[in-house]
Amino acid sequence: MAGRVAIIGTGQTNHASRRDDVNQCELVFEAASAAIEDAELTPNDIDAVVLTNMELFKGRALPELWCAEGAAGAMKPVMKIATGGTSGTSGSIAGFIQVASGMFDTLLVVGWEKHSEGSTQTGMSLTDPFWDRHVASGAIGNFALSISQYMQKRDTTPEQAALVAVKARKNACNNPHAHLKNPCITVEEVLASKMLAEPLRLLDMCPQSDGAAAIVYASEEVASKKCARPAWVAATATRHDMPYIGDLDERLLKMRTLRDAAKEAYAKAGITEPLKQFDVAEIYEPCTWAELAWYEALGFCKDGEAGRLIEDGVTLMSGELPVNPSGGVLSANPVGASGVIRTAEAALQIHGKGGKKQVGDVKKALVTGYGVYSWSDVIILSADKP
Amino acid sequence: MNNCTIIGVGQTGFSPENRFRSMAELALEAVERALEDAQLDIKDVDNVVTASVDLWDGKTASNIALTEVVGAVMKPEARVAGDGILAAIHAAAGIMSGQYGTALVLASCKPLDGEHQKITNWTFDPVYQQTLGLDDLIAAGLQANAFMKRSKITHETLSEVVMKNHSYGELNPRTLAGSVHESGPEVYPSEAGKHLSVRGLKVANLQKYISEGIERSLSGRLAKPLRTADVAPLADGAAALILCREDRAPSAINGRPTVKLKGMGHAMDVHYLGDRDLSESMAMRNAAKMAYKMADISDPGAQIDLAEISEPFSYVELLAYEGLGFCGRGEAGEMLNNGSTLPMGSLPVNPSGGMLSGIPPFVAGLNRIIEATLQLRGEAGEEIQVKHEPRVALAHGSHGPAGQCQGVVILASEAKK
Repeated sequence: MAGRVAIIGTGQTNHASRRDDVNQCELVFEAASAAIEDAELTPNDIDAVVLTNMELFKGRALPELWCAEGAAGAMKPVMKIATGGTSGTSGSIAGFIQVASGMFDTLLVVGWEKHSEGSTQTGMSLTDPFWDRHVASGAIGNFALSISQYMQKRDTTPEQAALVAVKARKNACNNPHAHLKNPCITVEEVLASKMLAEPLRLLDMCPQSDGAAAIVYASEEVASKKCARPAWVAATATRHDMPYIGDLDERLLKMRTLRDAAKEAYAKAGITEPLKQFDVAEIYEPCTWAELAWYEALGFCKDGEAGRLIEDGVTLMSGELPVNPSGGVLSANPVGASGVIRTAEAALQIHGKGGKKQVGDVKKALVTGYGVYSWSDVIILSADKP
Repeated sequence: MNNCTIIGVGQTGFSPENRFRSMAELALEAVERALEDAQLDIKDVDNVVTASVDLWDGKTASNIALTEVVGAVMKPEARVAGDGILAAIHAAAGIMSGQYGTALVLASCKPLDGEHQKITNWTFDPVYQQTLGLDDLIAAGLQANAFMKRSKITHETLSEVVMKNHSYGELNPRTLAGSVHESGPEVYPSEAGKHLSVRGLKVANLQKYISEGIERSLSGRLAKPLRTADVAPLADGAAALILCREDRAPSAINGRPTVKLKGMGHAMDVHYLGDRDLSESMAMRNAAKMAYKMADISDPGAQIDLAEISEPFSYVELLAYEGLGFCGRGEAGEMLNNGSTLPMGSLPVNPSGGMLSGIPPFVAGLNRIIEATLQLRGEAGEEIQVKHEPRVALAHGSHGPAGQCQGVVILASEAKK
């Protein structure tokens, strides 16, 4: 019988294009100490640590050896999980599993990235040396390919995609931690922004940020004592997929990993009508078009209806299911941390600590992670004990 | 809590020929061997946990390349960056939590593809230690000095560890030494002490290979007091385990005993070498303490029947005798000299030949679990099988400068039918 586990505290840095005021270890410390304080614990109370980070982007090897001390990890069980963009949600799931196993009563997950210290697109291009590398397209290039196909088959317009960017950057104004905020952004501005790789424009795309985020897991016994309103883990699911983009048939249209992971998680958590049953969703959208594809894969709407969903305002703060009140990955993207940010933002909504971005009384929250070409994580958090 | 058993093990050999095989090919061999050993189909694996490190693989999210061969397409997978023993621990946690019924664990590394020592320099903080030119070898030299002084270890004792492990490693086809071994086992040690004077042709072959390997990776530099022979040779390869929840384990294959994971522990030491007391390994003590507590072991020297530890440098084995609590501080030299840690001794350590016989970094911890499992099953091979029917074994893995990160796993077997 799996142990019941809840998130009892979260913390984040203020994400920015450059954090020259801290080194990586100090960046980790900022988020870790905020989360430990939010959980009303001390560093000694943390039994174990999971760290998530994509070292190659900064040309470091095993940076957790240096940075674990910033996460209250000295002399403790510390493990690093690194799975590309899904690192943060992979690590969040790993932390949950380790507490559920009974090995630990409390566990801190910290994800971080300091893109300003490295060359991310170079790092991202270091894939298979024979077949992939000479294309060297990074995230932008490979998304542009899939988006062209998605746009054509779904009849989705750039205007509809731009609505996602407007939502994200406006929501981010309510988020003190977000990197990119813009209260006045318009669809026209998005459509006029620089073309990166047709049809993907600058304002359609996520930034690269320096930042860190942390969450504190606790076993049922500790959570019940320490937290007034724990965010219980109701379900988790992960799916990985083929290594070569050419083998991922109709990638964004099918997004089979997300569909299948959501199916498993929904079944575990008793979700049959996601739009109705979730109060908030923090999903991992590397670009505007991806968010539309995720609406379909997550069953918020039928295939082909995603553009209409956002046009109708269903996923705005005022809508039936606010998606990314935090501003999402579009507003802050320290890759190793982004998945942890999603989990933290969903958890703090349940905790009622959302401040200006609080979506009323949140009982059920959905978290997704995305990475590599088509890897997906799904986490469902609930105010009710499972 | 659900108990976790090991139902399958598989690995590539660690021969020099692996240099010419891709990571995916090596991983596939390890996975197929493990599945065959478990008599399981890949579709019956619920969860995959892999261990690999991007900087060593020269690829970002390097586990991408292995997704198909580990059967993770449309399945959950997590990748731990670190020694394979951590992946085993995490996979076991997945089973103990009730989330998964079976798991495949894979560790892979091809250190000969890159400049191993240089990469270890990049694991140090970029401000103070990296710029000093520190690397794993220098950190080991510093630790060896501190440990040898405090525990009164001589250079001769280091040589004895090397000789012990090489002698058995050559008899074990699952090591680099065993794969370059040319003729039969004419140097079979029989009593405590006698083996230490063995100097065979095969050992010279290995020395030559070690020297060439070190030349290639270090440009001839060593760190006093460590000489060429004190440094484990690099090798490429992969190792895999199949874990299974006890109640889902298939009925015993060939009447072999069930091997259970009774205890697990890991710990990360502080980072700056100057902040550490290098004469011992606090992280090793903490990792062992956690594992012993879980496995109900209060007297490791008495309750553990054999140990397979990761010794990337000769002195580490002696440090481990003390760090794992097999003997008291300052007693490691004596423990080696009185033959206790020979295969016929009271607590055999590295009857497999250890890492000194050539096991890849990051794979070693998983390989140690495999060697310990084979011993518990009685399947280690005639020349190195510990005869007194071991029931409880310890497997150890580590990575990071002077073993900054340590992992310990306790395995136990039920008696054969």
